Amino acid sequence: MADRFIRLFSRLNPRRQPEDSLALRASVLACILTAETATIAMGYYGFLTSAAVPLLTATGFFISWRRRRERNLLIKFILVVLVFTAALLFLRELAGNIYDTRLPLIHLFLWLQVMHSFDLPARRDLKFSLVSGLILISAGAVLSISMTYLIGLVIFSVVCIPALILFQVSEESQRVDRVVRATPGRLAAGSLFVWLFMAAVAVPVMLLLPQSTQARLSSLPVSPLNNIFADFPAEVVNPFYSNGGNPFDGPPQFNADSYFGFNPYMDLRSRGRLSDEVVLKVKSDRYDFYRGVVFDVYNGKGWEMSDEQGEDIIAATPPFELPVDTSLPRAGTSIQSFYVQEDLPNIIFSSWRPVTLFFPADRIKVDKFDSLRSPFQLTDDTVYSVVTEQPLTAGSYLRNFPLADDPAADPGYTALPADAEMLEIERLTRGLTDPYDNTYEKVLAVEGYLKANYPYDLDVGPQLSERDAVAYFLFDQQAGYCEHFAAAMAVMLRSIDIPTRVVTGYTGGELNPFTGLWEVRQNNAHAWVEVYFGSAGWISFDPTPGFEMPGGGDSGGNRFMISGLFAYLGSLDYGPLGDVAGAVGGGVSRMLSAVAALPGRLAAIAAATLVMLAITARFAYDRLTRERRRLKRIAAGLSPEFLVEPVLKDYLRLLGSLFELGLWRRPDETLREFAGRVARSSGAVEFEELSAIVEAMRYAGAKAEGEVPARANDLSRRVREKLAAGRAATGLS
Amino acid sequence: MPTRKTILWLLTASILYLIAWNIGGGWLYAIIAIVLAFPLGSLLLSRINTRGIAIEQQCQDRCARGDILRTRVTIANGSRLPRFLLKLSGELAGGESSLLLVNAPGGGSTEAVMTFGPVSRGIFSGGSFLLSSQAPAGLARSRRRLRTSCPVVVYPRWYPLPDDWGSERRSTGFAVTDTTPARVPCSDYLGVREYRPQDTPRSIHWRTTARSNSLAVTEYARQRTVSPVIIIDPWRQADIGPAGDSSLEVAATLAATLVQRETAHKRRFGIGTSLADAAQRGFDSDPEVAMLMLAGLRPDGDQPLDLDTTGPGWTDITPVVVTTSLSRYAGIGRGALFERHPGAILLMVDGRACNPTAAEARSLMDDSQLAGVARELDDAGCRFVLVDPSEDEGSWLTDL
Repeated sequence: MADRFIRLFSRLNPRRQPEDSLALRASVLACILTAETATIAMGYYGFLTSAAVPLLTATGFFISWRRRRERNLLIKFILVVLVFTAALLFLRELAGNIYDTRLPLIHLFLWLQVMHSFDLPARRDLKFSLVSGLILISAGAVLSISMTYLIGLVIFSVVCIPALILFQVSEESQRVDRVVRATPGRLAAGSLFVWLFMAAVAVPVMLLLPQSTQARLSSLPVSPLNNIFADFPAEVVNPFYSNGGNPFDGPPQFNADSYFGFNPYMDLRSRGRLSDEVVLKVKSDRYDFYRGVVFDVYNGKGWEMSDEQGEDIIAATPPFELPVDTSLPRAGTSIQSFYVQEDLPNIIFSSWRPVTLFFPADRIKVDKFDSLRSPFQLTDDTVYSVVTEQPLTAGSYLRNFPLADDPAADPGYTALPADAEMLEIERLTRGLTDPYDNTYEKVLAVEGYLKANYPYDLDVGPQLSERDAVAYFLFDQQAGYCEHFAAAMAVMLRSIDIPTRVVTGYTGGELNPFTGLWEVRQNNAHAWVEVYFGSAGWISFDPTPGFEMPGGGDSGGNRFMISGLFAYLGSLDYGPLGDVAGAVGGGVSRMLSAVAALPGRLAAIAAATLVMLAITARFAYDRLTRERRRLKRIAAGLSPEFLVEPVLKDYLRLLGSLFELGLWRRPDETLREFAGRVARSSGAVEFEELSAIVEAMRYAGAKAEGEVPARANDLSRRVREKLAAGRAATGLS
Repeated sequence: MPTRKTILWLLTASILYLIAWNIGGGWLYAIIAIVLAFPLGSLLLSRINTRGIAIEQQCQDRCARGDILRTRVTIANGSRLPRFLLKLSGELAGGESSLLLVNAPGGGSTEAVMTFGPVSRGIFSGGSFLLSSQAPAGLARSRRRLRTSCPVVVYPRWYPLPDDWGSERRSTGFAVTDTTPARVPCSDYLGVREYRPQDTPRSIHWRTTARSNSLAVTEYARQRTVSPVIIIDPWRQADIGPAGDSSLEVAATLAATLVQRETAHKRRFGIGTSLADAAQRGFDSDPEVAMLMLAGLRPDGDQPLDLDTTGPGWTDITPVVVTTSLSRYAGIGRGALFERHPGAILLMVDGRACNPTAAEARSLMDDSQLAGVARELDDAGCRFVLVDPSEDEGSWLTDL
């Protein structure tokens, strides 16, 4: 029985030609170790995996090399058993986190790679190992959300080149009679050249590769679950700000590390500049605003919430199905995955209107403004995903709503403090909106007025007077920050009985074209306005100059990396070099954006024209410079007389003809030696005499007098005739 | 030109792209770009690799068929950029060789020894090389054909013969001696020997007969020059068998062996592919010229050798006809050449052994016809030798 089993096992594992090249094995091992390290460095796996995987892989490669000529049936059998064990462990790990299968899958793959490294006798096995290294580095790429991954990727691509070259050498060596191998130094230099060449090809490919940054999976990334067994308050808790007493009694608070609008209140009287730290990385197919806190009560100094209580949403495992009014029209669906980079308040940010939430908790809260609250503060390892339905914001649709479309709207959304300054604001608003007969036009009129007449300025001083904050902005300061604009718009619209509320959150940030993630920084914190449109729901507007509300129906499309690259590079801080780089990058960016904005067919024609022009220019350049380069090369080391003396010039042209036949003077050859070689190989013995004439003229001071020019001319002609005959005989054109 | 490996490579890129598209790629797009860059870059790199490369080849200028030709090849990279994985497949004198150069540094040259063989008979001006590159990973292939100037003459193979045909005739340099019992012009008295039947009674030497009590006759010796003229039949239709081992190739080997034997015995000889050709070449007896003629011998005759001509009026020659067909001998008699020159030799290469399945071999060679030819030539005092090339090389020369 055992014999039969061994025979069967042997048949299933036929012997292959062992691969003896130690260099090839070493280069493949370097690739695998790089892929493993790059994946492990993401920090998702424990010490055991992080230390054991590279160590065991290297050990496996060593054992494979030592035992490459053996059958290794016992090792193979043990590996089969271990593979089954790893598969069982994978299933167990999967059961613990069924909503993000990537980590267990990559964990399994790491260990499979280790096991495979123990059985690599032949070149084919090493090839499989390299392919699995590629898969591993790809898996790491899926996990990575930071630029540091670039280091692993570059090292992997560098060490792969010698491996690929050595594979090719190993394959072709079997098909040729003789191999002239390269020294390790030359191989390394050659690999570097190939890498540079391939990088030069890969960069434009990457720039022009259509990319989608949207996840289209039903199971979205979410960090490990935290079970919350008790109820928790729905109010916003921001540890960077004190929440005791009435915040409007004292001077306004500000902390550069956390936006003051992420509080249960928002004081309009002062602001500061926020830090440049990346707080969120968002995987999304579109630029969008991420909603955090909603305020509905204006008290003359700032905004507050009328009700901080929220509705509990409980789910044993993700996702949370959020309460959604299904009758609201929608423009499309979008998915965002949020990777929290800095500690944040207990606000679950999302695009407007969230319908499904994958969050690492078993319960969350939703307040009356459909803002989401986490049971804990978001920490820098929190990952969650949201599916949102974008509201229909097309003007043609919203214009259909007359004033007071929905009398059921909460009167709190139109409430204002009862003071004389509100009348002044109402007068201003009515002057702007009276010509229009529907809500949408009136909203646009106010939004446009604010954008056009009030500059955006983050450095305005604090409001020291006791005047109403919006009136102070509109009539005294006449410049301000986004909170001023949002508050002013909301108050102005409320003054003519249009329900509004103020929203704080983050703008979409900048797309990092390498990671495919939108990088949202602390200073992307923003405030905007939501206007109630009855059966169309709450629609967002942004009156701050320089900011545009993302279009509801626009999915953002599938972008080319090139279109976002310059914008991203422009968003980075370069210090003093930034001004110069910004000017250049901005120009290029504008040019590329203009091309990208062209309709598809026109863009294709433009691109094709550019390519044709480039090719034509290249050919023209070649044609113009070929002859000059050829003669320059031949003349290198020769005296300038060769360019003026007729006999020498003719000799130079003759050298050109010889060059085309593959005969050129080596650096270590004298004219006479070269002439002898030409005569031997082409049969043009006259070239020796001609060379002697040239040699005498060049080195012995002989002059081209008497019969010398005619003789040289005759010799040259005969040499050319023989060369032409030789060409015809050998079929050369 | 893309290779089969490219399809697998692109398939991998497509799968990764599908994954990236559905999970919102990020770095995965960078990996896809790198994966795609390889086939695209390989198209360019392999093409660049074969540009700016020049080859020089040096080798011995003569050798014999079947030898291994060692050549020194210099691969010069005229560009400043290095070249990789250059595969050089060369053909010289019918021999093939291939070389893989892993790295050719920019602006430098690399020397390597390439051996071609076994080489075929002929006169060659140089080698033909196919320079190809599949750098760096075999995803695209670029080829370029190059020629080298490396003249080489491949003589037919020849074998030293243990015996000489003149040894039975007491060879003395350029002359052989015939003995005759009767005085004939240009003959000298040689001596007395025993009487043999058919000796004429007039030659009896009576004094010796009386003294020895047995019949004795006088013998005279006639000296004459006998020069072999080797004529090879290059009839295309009778050239049977594969190029390197065809019947004409065997004929060339026979001729070369004879040339070397005549040269070794310092006899004058002539050679040609017909009587007229041999007459034109004359008896220069230069082995270099003869071997060069044999090296360039091609099966280009439209007709079999015409043996009905009487030749250019030569006397005292021994025609040695090396042929591969029977057609001129079987149908029309033994021809004027054999009539005029008793002692001539016909070396017949049996083409059936070169390619037993060839129909033309069977039609050209027939055992009964061969026997007839042998009989006819024997009657005419000529010699017929059937050479069977299927025997061990060289063993069929023993009959010469």
